Amino acid sequence: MTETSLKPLAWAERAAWTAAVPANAGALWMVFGYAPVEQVMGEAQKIFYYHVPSAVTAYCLVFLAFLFSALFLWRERAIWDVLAHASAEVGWVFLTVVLLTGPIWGRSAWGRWWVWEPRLTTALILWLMYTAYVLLRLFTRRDARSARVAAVLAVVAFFNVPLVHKAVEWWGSVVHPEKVSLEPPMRLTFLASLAAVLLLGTAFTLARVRVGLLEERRLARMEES
Amino acid sequence: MIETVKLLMMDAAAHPPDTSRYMAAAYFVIGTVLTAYYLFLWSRGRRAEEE
Repeated sequence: MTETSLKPLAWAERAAWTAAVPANAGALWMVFGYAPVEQVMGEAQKIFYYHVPSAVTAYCLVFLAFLFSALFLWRERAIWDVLAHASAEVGWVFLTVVLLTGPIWGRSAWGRWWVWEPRLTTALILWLMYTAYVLLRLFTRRDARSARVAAVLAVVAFFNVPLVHKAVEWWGSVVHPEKVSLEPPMRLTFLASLAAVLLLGTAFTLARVRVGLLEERRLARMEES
Repeated sequence: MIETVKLLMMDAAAHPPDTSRYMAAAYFVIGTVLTAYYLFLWSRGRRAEEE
């Protein structure tokens, strides 16, 4: 893996940033300048346009972390570990965005920062599990054993995602509706934001993979010398 | 629990806050978290390249 050329990766990362920055500028213009103000929740409803896409991006990334971790446990190739680590860390950042913006929206919509309802509780548990993953990688030696422990944690943590997704359907909630119907301009703004945030997640992940590979190379050089 | 949340929502609807403040706060938080993470990655990348 240390022989892997980083040039194609650097090129893909640049392409992702080049697409993500204008996409997010456009999405933000749509959020603030195009989407109508929702009648019941007012301006605070516009939090939805980045809150939900951040959750979708986080789900996609923790799925990738699950997939790469499973591959690492199967084959023990270092590249799978680098990819799993990058996906889990960026996924955790987007989960953090979800858990910070949700309470701000909640405070405005129902007057409370936090309510112990099923989706919020399961989302908090998911965030805590990936926080454990990030801390584990941060404070343990870079060796095969800690990589294996982290991979097991990423695989186990992913099984919480269906619980978060189905929490409203299974246990009920008045805070998160089962289905959301949007007017056409709102739907268009949501789709633009979703594409923009997914691109941002891709750019961050590619950047994180490049940093991970650079650090692996540095480590290999240090072991050689 | 659900009844309590319903009452809170009705109360919040009866006394609507300045919702634009919450929107601004949320987008400020999003910008701060993502910028901080970008800078963290950038500095780690620079350090790894230099060494």
